[in-house]
Amino acid sequence: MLHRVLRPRRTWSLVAPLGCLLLTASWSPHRARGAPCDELNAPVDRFAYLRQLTLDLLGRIPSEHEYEALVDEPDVPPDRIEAMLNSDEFYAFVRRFHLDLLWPAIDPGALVEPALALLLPAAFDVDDQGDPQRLFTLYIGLVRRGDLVPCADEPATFDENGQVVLHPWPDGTMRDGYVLVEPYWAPGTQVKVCALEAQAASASASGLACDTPDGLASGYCGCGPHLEHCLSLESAQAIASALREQVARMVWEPVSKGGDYFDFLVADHEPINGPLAHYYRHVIQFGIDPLIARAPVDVTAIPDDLTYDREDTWVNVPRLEAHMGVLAGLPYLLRFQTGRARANRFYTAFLCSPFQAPPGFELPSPADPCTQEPNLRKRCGCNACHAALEPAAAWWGGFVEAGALHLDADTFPPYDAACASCATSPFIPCSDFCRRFYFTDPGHPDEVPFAGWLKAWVWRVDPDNPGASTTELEHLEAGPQGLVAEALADGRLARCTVRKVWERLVGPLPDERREDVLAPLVAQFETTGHDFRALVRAVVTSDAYRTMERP
Amino acid sequence: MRWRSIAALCASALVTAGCAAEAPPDAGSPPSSPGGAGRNAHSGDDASSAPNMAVDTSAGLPAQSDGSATSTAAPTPARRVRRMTVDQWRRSLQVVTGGIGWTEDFGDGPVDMFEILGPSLGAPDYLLVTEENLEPSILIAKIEHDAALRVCAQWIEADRQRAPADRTFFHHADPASVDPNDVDATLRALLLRVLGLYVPGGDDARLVRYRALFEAASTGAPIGMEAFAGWYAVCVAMLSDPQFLLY
Repeated sequence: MLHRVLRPRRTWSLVAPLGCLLLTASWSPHRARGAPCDELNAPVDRFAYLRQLTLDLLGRIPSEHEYEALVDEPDVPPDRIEAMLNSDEFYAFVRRFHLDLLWPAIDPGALVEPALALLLPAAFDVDDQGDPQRLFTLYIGLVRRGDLVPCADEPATFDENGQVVLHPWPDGTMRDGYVLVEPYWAPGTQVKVCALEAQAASASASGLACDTPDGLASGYCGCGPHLEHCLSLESAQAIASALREQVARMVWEPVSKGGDYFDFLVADHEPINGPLAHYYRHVIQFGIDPLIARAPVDVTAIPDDLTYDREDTWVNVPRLEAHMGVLAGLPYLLRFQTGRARANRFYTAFLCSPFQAPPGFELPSPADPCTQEPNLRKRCGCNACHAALEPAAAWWGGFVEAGALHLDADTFPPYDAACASCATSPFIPCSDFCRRFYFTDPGHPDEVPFAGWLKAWVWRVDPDNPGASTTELEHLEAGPQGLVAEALADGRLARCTVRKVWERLVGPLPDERREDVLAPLVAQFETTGHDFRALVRAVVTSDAYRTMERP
Repeated sequence: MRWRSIAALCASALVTAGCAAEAPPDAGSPPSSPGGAGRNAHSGDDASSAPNMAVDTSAGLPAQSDGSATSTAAPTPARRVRRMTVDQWRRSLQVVTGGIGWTEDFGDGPVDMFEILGPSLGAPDYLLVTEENLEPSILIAKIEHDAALRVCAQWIEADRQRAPADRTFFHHADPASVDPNDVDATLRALLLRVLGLYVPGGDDARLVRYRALFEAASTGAPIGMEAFAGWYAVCVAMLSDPQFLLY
């Protein structure tokens, strides 16, 4: 019946733009609610206060019932605020606040080498005329079929030995057929998968284990039982989403328990759900570019019943020592892929110290010889930031760049003589291993002494006295947990956290006001043992939070 | 007649978005509220009720004998008006409508329009966009209006079908009633529900514009549809009011 009232739609569409213009013209902070036009920085009424609180803390406006409960109250009762802070809905604030700080977003295609272990729909091949949903991998297509093509859209055939039969195809490639498989990501259903990709053998004919990158790269291994070693577009997305959620959950744990807020920076465990458990058990070894390779947790501690389909079940599992804390977990290391990027985000988000050249700093002329200095800590024009950034980046020097792998000393000794030899001889080719992890391409005489050292050790170790400790090597050995300990001890973490929470809930303060306004909150935050809820409570019950700024 | 409805709608939005010429500090304070709704009174109460939270955030302000800051001191820090994020907007629309979000069906089943429009509206994905731009813009106003047009139609239609006890739009009066008392009751409820504006009985000033909008939209509507046309216009006006997204 209502539709009759709404006709004709054309009139609406003609007038709507005008309405929008009018609405936008009226949309100004000057026109905030609750106070006379000529009054600066006026307090908001209790209903607006409740709306602020509910939107900020719970991520939604109050319900009508919640508003009505305020009618006979002189103000928002403290126990209402307390209830918000103690409710599960407060997760909305904690989650969003920390997503904005930590940016935990990972391209699903980075979780595995896509060509090797990502099952693509046949529609990826634009020339394919068959069922667009049947699944294949690019690498097997290239190695076994002769091009980046899927199998034929027909049932597979097998020889007397059970091997997949490939037939010549008009375009010169070889094609197998498909089989139906119950995939791990959708139990109880069946999907069409090319027969070569669906192979479930544990080893190739040449003896390569099929749960290794070498085995899968041979082209003679499949994705294993229920396709467990490969990702689909769907499961890759689920794992990427789980890693994002993991960060928020790591923060939520100490916050919800009233513990020390900064525990999430050094936590010795991480929450995982079904998709993450599957990834750690069966797929992570195929994450080779970026280099992930190993789970950051003790995989044997993952409960057997935490299967892929349990997406909403989260279980804490112990992290390996090198990966303790949010700053050494997969979401952080994969989102920020260099030591400098990792340091930059942490210093900006948690220490309020972005790397910026001082005011008035001027770049030198490119002709200035000092611009040829290879050490960025000293190179004029770069040193304004890098003199501080390089020692900061050293905290993450124990992790590979473009990846999340921890460089354990047994596999990756700081110095490799073979890599040094190839780096300094034009007649010895460097292996992929050397080129990936060790410094092999000195481009300046001052860099030559670092040939054969792990890349993270360049400019940090004294090649003439390798046993001598340096500040940056101490950072590298301690890992990001060392940075956290240092920033906790000197109060930088607490000060910046208070400032970030204030800016989130109230707004930025001018430099000259920051200290006197925030110092009491910092003191209280320290006194309460970094109780995050207490900090938020203090801010939202402050005069400033209840006062609307009118520019 | 439709243009009159829209014009009234926009006029209403303009008025409600503006600051009140003589707005009391707390129009909704009950008579017994001690000391009105002044900032100090409220904050002091809250702080004293949470003993481990009490923090003087007006530090640095020289105090006069009556406890107020001197006129030469730096002003007390104040909160900046901000716009809801896309997430807050999505969740708030559901709260307002009793669970009806903004969905559209383009042939493959209903999709959440905030998912579709999130990137255009500046919602961060933390890969390419790391900070949500919360500045008001013509695009936000346009989308807010689009959302209001769609959601209001669904909300009113759904509410009309519900049992009276389950209604979220018409729970103070019959949906078909155009009786002024019924209209005022529903307007009061909607202003509180949608915009958080409490209009106690006897304070009709804030209802005037919405009454006018209701009457303008219902006048000329097909017989039997008057109330629905009026409520649709009111709903769109409120959900596309800048005050809905600002807080």
